[in-house]
Formats: sequence, C-alpha cells, structure tokens
Amino acid sequence: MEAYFIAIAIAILIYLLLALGLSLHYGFAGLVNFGHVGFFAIGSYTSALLALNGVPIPLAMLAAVFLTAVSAYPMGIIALRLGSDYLAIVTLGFSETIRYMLQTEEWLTRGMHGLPGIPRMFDGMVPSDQIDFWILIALLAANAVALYLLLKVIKSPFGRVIEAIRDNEVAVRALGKDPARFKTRTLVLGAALAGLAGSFQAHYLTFLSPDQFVPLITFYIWIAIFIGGINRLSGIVIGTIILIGFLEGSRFVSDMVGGISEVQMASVRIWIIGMALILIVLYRPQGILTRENSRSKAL
Amino acid sequence: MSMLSVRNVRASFGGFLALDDVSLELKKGELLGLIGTNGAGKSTLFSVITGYIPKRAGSVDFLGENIDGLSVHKRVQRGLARTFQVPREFSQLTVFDNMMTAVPNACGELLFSIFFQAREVRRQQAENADKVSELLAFLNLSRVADVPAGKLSGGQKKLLELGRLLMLEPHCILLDEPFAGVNPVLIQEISERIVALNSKGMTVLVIEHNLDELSRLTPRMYVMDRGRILAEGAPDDVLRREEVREAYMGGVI
Repeated sequence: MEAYFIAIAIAILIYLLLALGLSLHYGFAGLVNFGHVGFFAIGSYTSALLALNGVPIPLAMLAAVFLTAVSAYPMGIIALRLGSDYLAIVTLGFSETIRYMLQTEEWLTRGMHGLPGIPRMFDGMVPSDQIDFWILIALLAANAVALYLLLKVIKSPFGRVIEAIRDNEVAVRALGKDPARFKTRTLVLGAALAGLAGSFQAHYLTFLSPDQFVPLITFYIWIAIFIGGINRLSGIVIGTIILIGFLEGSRFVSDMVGGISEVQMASVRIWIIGMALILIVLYRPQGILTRENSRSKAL
Repeated sequence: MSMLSVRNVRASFGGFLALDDVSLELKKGELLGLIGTNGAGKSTLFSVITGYIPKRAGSVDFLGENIDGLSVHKRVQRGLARTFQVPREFSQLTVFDNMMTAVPNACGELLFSIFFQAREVRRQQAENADKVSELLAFLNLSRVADVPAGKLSGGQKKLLELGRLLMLEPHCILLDEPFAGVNPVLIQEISERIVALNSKGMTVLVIEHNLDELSRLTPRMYVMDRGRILAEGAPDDVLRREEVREAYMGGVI
C-alpha cells in the first residue's frame, strides 16, 4: 500500500516537472507546444544510454538536461518565425519524429524492443526496498528547485517580456526587443525541465521504449495545466496532482471494485478526463486557481 | 537637419498599390501631421517606415543613415518608435508592468543576470520604477498603475502606449491616430502631452483623420490620398487647396 502511494507520488512529480516546463512555454510565453513529450523522450533516452555505457547516473542526468535544452534551440530558430498555430504543428511533428527515430534507429535505441536494464537511481547506495522512497525525495528536491528557479525567472524582467510577448508580440517588437530571442530561451528552459523529468523516468523505471512517448503524454500535460490554471504555478501543482493522481489512482479503484475489466476502466478514465476538461473550459476557463491578471501572484 | 527622410516609396498588397511614390521629410524637433481619408495609406506608410511592411521601391533614411535593411526592433533601438492605430497594450500585465517592459536593455532580461547579478537587476528595477512613476504622473495614469492594461479605456490605452514609447527615450515618435476612439476630455489631454513633449525637443509625426484636431496641433502637414502625397504645407494653406478639398471632403466644402 505504501509502495503504491510512493509510486503515484513519483509519477506525479515526474509529470510536474513536465508541466512546469509547459506552463513556462504556454502559460507565460504563449508558445503552443504540442510536442513536449519529444523533450521528455530525448531526456530519457540520453540519460539511459549514457548510464548503460557506464557514465555515472548524476552525470548522465546532467548531460540529458543539457542535450534536451540544446535540442530545443534549433527548433526555436525554425519554429519561432511561425505563428502560434504553425508552432503547434511543428512541435507535434518534432515529437513524432523523435519517437519514430527511437523506433527505427535500432543500433542505438534497440527500437521497439526497448532499453532494458537501465541503472537504477541510488542502486547500491540505500537498501533496495528504500530506493523508491529516495527517488521520491530526489524528485521532491528537483521540483522544489525547479519551482524556485521558475518563479525567479517569471518575476524577472525576462519573465515580464515573455508575458508581454504572449499578450502582444507586435508591440514587443515596437519596443525594440526581438521576440525570437526571448522565445528561444523560453523554449530551451522549459525543454531542460522536460529533459530532467525524462532522466528521472529512465532511472526510475529502468526500462524505456518508444511507445512511452506518444503524443497522448503531451496532451495529458496540457490537461494538467489547464485544470490548475495555465499561468499560476500553484495551479500547475494542483492540476498535476489531480490528473495524475486520478489516472494512477483509478487503477487502484478497478482492483477494489470487482466486475470492471482493465479495458473498461481505461475507457471510463478517458471519459472522465474528457468530461472534466469540457466542464473546466466551460466554467473555469482560467483553471481552478485563477490568476487575476497580476504578476504579483505568479505562485 | 533631417530626422526622417522618406524618398519615392512604393508598397503594394497583391495588385493594389498602397503607396505610390511617396516622399516625406521630417525635420529634427518638428511636430508634423499626416492627414488623409481612410485607406489613403497613412498607416501603411508608418509600417514601411518602421519596417513592419516591406516596400517595393524607394528608401528611408533616419538621422542621415539608410535604415532599409534593419529589422523592426533594430529601427526602434536607433530611436525611431511608433504607436498603433488600435492600441496594443499587454492586456494581462498591469499598467506599471507595461511601462517596465519597455525599458531598453534591462540587465534582468538575461537569464544569466537573473541568477548571478541579482543585485544589479534589483538596482536597475528600482531606478526604472522611479522613471515609470514619473512618466505615469506626466500622463495622468498614476491612479491606474496597478490595473491590468486590458481594463483601461481606449484613451487610457493610447496614453499608456505613448508612455511605453517614452520609456525608450526615442529621438522620434510616430503616433498612429492618437485621438481615434478617445473621449473629448482625453483628446485634449493627449494633445497637450504631445505638444509638451515636442516643446522639450521630441520630434513627432502624427497621423490623424480628424482634421480639426490635427490642424490645431501641427504647424505643418502632409495630405495623403489613395497612396499618394497630395499636398504639403501649413494647415491653412493646405486645406484651402482645391485638390485637397476635392479628395478629403468630396468637394462638399
């Protein structure tokens, strides 16, 4: 039972890192990123492949974050000349391209067979039945640091400019600022968080395969930030807890309540999420925790 | 001395010639008007001058240098700033933050500085905040400093846009219909601010289709019609000309 809660908490915290990155992209800078899972995938596979080749886990994770951030850069240069609807398509294409590459480049990724036996975090450092607990602690720390850094960025003049870009990009240019520069940096920063999430995923699950990185993951993250409030960080936290808590927790319900098959439960789950999303967009379009037009309430 | 010199500019949308051989001179320290009916090409001319719309022929010089190859933000950095006909406020940011956004080259715009030069960022912020308060007082917007800009009235948004430009400390400002959709009291106020700025040495080019307002405001004006410059001179002279009355008032007056 306790192990089960720890597993749910870990899932929530990995998603939270992803959601914080997407919130920076969309909630604050207005970048419609439909390919967030692509960054997640790059982070996961980079960290896994490096660790499998003998690189110490912390270094592998660091490299994963770095490489994911770098991967966002060229996409920024291409995509940021486009309007937001085009950006959505380009980013979606980007994440699907990454997934297909993971499938087809078998010499590197073993394709659909997946990558087994990825070194586990804290393996050998703590008793094996406590590893999950320590991963949870590490994730909590990572999220705390991410939240702190994001808050600092958002409250800075940089944060003000990206919010201005979201509100009116043409006017930002009229103030002598180059929006592309700010948007690229925002993309890179949010992608780095997704890369960190990916490296945690790799060293927690110890198995990766391309089908873990389908676009549905991106849309789950979108739903999470919509539930809580796209540009309020406490809303992101709550939205992620609600969504992932529900997604993971509902498995538990189907175990307890007899007579519902796993397949039926999966359908019910999607139905409830869809319904909830419709209701939120109808009645609380700003999310559960509304941020009333003020930069003083970024948290 | 010339501030802005537009020579033989042509611009077109599809097959429609929006600017046909337009030339215009704006002297340093001048308060110049540009008048014309809807669709005459006034805003298009602004957009060509500021680099938002590419032109097909002609040249634009600013402070004696050709700026044709420069992007929008580079032109602004040179000191050539504009407002828009429809206000483009940052609607979710407060009036204060709208003004702060305009600060050129703020140290805190670099991610590195946010974390490693926090003190310098704070110092600059405080300094700029003082400047913002001063300007908001000048524009009579102090009361609404903490209001999200999206909630302002049309006239207040125009004032805010003007304020944002002034934060840039430009050499020259182009105002696109500063009185459009503004109530008479605020028109008076905006008018006074423009004159006050000009008397402090700011070069101003104002687009307006409100004849009365513009002829009261500017000592010299250009008249545009269907993509061409029709006339140039003092308001009284210009408005007396046959072709201007024909084009502008359909010959009624």
